[in-house]
Amino acid sequence: MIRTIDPISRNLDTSCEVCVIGSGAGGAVVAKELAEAGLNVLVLEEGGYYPTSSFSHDPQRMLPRLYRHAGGAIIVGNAPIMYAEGRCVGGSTVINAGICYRTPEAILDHWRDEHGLVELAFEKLVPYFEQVENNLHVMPVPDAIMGEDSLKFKQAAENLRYRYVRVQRNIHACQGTNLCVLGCPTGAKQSTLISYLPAAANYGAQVLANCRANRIVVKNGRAVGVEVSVVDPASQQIRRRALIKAGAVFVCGGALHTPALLFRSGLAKWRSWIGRNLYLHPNLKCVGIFDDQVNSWQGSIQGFQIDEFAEEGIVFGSTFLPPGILALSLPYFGNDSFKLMEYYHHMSVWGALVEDTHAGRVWSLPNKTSLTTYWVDARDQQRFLRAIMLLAKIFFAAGARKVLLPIKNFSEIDREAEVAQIPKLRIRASDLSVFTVHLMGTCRMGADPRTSVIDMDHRFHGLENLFIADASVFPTPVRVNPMLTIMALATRAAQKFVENRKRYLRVT
Amino acid sequence: MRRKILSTLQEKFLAQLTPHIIPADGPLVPHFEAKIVQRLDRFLFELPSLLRTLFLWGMRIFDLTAIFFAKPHRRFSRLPEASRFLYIRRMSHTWLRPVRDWLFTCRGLILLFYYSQPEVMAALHFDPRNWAREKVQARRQALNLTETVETIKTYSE
Ligand SMILES: Cc1cc2nc3c(=O)[nH]c(=O)nc-3n(C[C@H](O)[C@H](O)[C@H](O)COP(=O)(O)OP(=O)(O)OC[C@H]3O[C@@H](n4cnc5c(N)ncnc54)[C@H](O)[C@@H]3O)c2cc1C
Repeated sequence: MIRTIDPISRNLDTSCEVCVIGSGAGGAVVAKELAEAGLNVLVLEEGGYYPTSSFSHDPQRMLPRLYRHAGGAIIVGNAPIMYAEGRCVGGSTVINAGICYRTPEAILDHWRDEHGLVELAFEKLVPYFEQVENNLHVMPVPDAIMGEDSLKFKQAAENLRYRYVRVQRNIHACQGTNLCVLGCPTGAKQSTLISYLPAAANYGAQVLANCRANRIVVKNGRAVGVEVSVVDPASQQIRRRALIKAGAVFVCGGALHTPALLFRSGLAKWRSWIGRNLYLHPNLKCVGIFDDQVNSWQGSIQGFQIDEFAEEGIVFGSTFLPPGILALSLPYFGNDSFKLMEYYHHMSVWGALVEDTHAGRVWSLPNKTSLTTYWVDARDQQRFLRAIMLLAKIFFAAGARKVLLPIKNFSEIDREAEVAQIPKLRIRASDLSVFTVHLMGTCRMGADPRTSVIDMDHRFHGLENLFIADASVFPTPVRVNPMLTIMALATRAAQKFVENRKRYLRVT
Repeated sequence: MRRKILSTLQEKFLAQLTPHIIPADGPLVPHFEAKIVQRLDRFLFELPSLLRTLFLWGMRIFDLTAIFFAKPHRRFSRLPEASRFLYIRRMSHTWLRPVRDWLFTCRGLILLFYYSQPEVMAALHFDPRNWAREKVQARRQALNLTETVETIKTYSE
């Protein structure tokens, strides 16, 4: 059952066996698994509850409802990086593209060798991947909903003889509406809002929307409860504060808010790695303009990915941006902007996702807030340029007549010959428009408590009954879209908890 | 009710900036200046207080730097229309990074709202409202659904 602000603010004195903070990819999975095992589960979600029937194509309406800071969030550093994350019941899964990849074996091998995560070998994770894939209807994008932009993308890969794969997505009877990033209006995308959370609710879990966890209360080495405030979504005023007593706590607030909550709870003195090790999978987008109509709003948001350069840490895919968001990201205004946007139906937006090697950090500020910083280093910057160059090449191979680049003062090219200049450009990091939607790694998992925050069972080193299960647990970036990894790990974490429930829920 | 973020003067300032950012040759959106001020207020309300304060300070600095960089040397809000446009062009390439970044952000937001207006999207051959409606219907038919998809009960039920 979902409870939204009014009912909660009347009656909030609650205790539960397990309190789950966050209802996104990690939190919803944990809630469902634990509730299914018969535990009394309460999910706290800071954002509001917006059912599918309320989703609209209008970014002005949907951004403030579904996105944190209405989508206008920024990471501070030598190249200010825009990022997007969900803040609603269902978390970022409500606004994501639903692309699902298993964690590459090479990454899990690296986690085993460098971080001692011997339990996370690929073969051992396969049953968890399968479970999540079944629950989410993960399937290859069918031909029937392949849009013209995806077909052009595939054609380019074939022309260049680059290796490509058909994308897998969590969809059920998808019609190719392509409004995934504003909340799927048809309900085809199996976000946790319509998959895991209803299942959790059927097993008796409760979800409290508009309810923010402020602090985890720790006594004698155990988490004993969570201090919460109920926030009015319209005025952002706190309506009520309360303490929710819990036998165990799962923190699943995402890579920026999980460390922030641990800081507010005074846990930084226990583990110095909280907040460090932030990876972003920086995303660079180019726009191609074609002579023929592309109508890129028709069809699946992404059909194929080029993974020819995956070993270098670069993958490419197509995406779709509504006109407002596209215009925002182009460096034009006035009539110049319209002259270009008039060709919106001839445009296609493709992006490069780069596996970053240099980590950022979430800092705790004195006023109980946090700040996120990230410096792009010279090596990653060079890879960004290489990614842009390859992307431009892919566009020309698809027949684009002009390519708009995310580089200041070098923002358009219309001849393939110009592509070779891109890696030689002498630019600063701030000259690049970098964006991210994959935030990972700020409470990393590891066998050694001196260099990590949680152990292999997702348990906070040093605390008996505090767990973390979200994107923050990754020791390194995963090179592919992270949702499936998060959900598989969360399934495993919950099942390990159930196996040891007596020990973890012991009342002292 | 939520509190308002922009003062009357700030609202006026943004209404003066907007016509130079949106395309003069693009589709006309009735009362766009009034709409944009409302939308920006809502957006600023959602921002964390640090970013909101930076935005409001940026607006002030942008207004004042016109005294040095525009002709005649007056604040942006007191410049004649033609000089405003030239000042915006100049500041979009300025070496003063905070001013340039503020202009870029504000420009982006104004364009986001402009290109999300139905009349503008229609001019771009994009009609998402009907498109989404058709697709919702198509999926319902394909699955023989009568209603929407969630099965979570809300408290009031
Ligand atoms: C636009 C977009 C597209 C994406 N596309 C893909 C894709 O195609 N494939 C893919 O694999 N990944 C994609 N991702 C990334 C993926 O969605 C995220 O990595 C994943 O959802 C993160 O899971 P999480 O559980 O860590 O956090 P989230 O899913 O973000 O959930 C965290 C939840 O916790 C809540 N919360 C935070 N702090 C508190 C608190 N103190 N109290 C109460 N609640 C709190 C938040 O409001 C939020 O709802 C995309 C992301 C975005 C934004």
